[in-house]
Amino acid sequence: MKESRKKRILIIEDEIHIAEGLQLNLSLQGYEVQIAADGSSGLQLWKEWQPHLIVLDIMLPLIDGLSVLQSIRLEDERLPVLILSAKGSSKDRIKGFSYGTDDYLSKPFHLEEFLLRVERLMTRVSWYEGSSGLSEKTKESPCCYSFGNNRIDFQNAKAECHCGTIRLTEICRK
Amino acid sequence: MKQIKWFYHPIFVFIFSIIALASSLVLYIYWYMEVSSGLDAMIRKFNIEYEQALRSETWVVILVLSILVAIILFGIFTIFVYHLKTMQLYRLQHNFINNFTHELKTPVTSLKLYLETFLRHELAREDQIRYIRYMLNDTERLSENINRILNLGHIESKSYAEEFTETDLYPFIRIFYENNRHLFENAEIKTDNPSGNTFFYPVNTALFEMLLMNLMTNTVKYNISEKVRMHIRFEKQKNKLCIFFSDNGIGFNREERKKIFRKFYQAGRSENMTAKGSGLGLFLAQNIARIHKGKMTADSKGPGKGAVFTLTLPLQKRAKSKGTPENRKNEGKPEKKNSDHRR
Repeated sequence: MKESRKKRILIIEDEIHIAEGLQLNLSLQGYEVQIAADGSSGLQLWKEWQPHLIVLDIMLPLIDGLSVLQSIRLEDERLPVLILSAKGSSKDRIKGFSYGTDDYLSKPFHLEEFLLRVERLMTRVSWYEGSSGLSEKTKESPCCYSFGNNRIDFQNAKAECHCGTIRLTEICRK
Repeated sequence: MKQIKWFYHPIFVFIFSIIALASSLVLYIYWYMEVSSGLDAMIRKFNIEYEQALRSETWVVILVLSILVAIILFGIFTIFVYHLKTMQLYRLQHNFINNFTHELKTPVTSLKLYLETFLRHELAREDQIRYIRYMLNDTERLSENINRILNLGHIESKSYAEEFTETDLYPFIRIFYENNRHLFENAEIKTDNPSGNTFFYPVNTALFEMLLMNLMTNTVKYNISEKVRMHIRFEKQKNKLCIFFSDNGIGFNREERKKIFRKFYQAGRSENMTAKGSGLGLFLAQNIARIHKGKMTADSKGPGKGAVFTLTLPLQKRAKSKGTPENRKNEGKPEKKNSDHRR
């Protein structure tokens, strides 16, 4: 995977016009952006590309947005997710937050509001990175432990053993 | 409160009402028999004229009671069936409102997004043209959605123009595709008329175009293949013209073959929010086929295996009813073999 200084944003949106419009604006703001057109390719790209933020639609083909969010939350509690959906009732918003979204914006939205919300979530990502030991703390305590043929890497949330590589959950990391 | 919710459930109320009614009938008969036998004993004891005390016959009372109960039972059953249908319609309508809102909001969101982008940034001319095309597509999508609702009203109230003109259907479909190919840019649509015959049929142009548009947009909308493909094939079967619209779309289960033509029915599951569209496209297509004395059927080998929609039109009836003599002369005459492959 290429290391880049730019913050990565994954857009999981099946309406290609909207996805491209968001990509254009976020790129102009200095983010690196990728698009997934359905739930399953969104999950695949999330694992491969490890974005800093996900912009997620709810009504998606194959796997719907809330199921995508549920899968993400099983493995990563911290990753900021912004739901962008045409479903804008308070019932839908409550459902979204109960599944673990960090922010919810209903369509149609103001571009400036969207960009400011993304910026705010990214600020929190920087805070996490600063406080979670990825900068200061990791220097003091080791992030990798090896015993026998096993290796646990807390920084990259991975464990390697005879059965392959396992992704660590947020609880394991704590 | 939730624990006693089952008490108000229509099925429970229905069964309970029937049991109560049946019990009341049994009890009426039982009590009537008891009273009659008591009265009978009294008549014999006091030596009263039998006909003075008991004029009516027992079986008449039982028969009348049974008929009345049967009528009440029929009434309850009818109300129950109507209630179930109303509930089903309510659920479908609720789904429709949810999904149609999505269909309206999506192009509006896209339009707003690009307009705001243009206000914020100076874009290169080629990018501007690209995004303006997106916006034009969105406006078309919006007007298409609005028209669909308006047309539904027209078709249901039968207030469409009764103008049917004799049209050769094969070139008609090809011209329709040519005029709208910008809407199917990423699709490969092939038209084929292996017999080479001309198929003149009286069609309401506006409605028939709507039918074609619904079938073609469905192919694109319900398709996750890398390359969307559609094959439109003309075939004469006895006195019928069959137009097959085969695609490589998401397909459907066998049980859904008829359901997909229902009003507000949507492919995909609404509960997990993968269902999209208005649920009106195929309903309208079927109604338009009926207006043209034809019918629409659908078939699929299963989810992910594409679908075939067949429009069947009766050729003989048409020839008797309408059609210009000139056109009749040409009907069924083979021309050159037609096959067109477009991208």
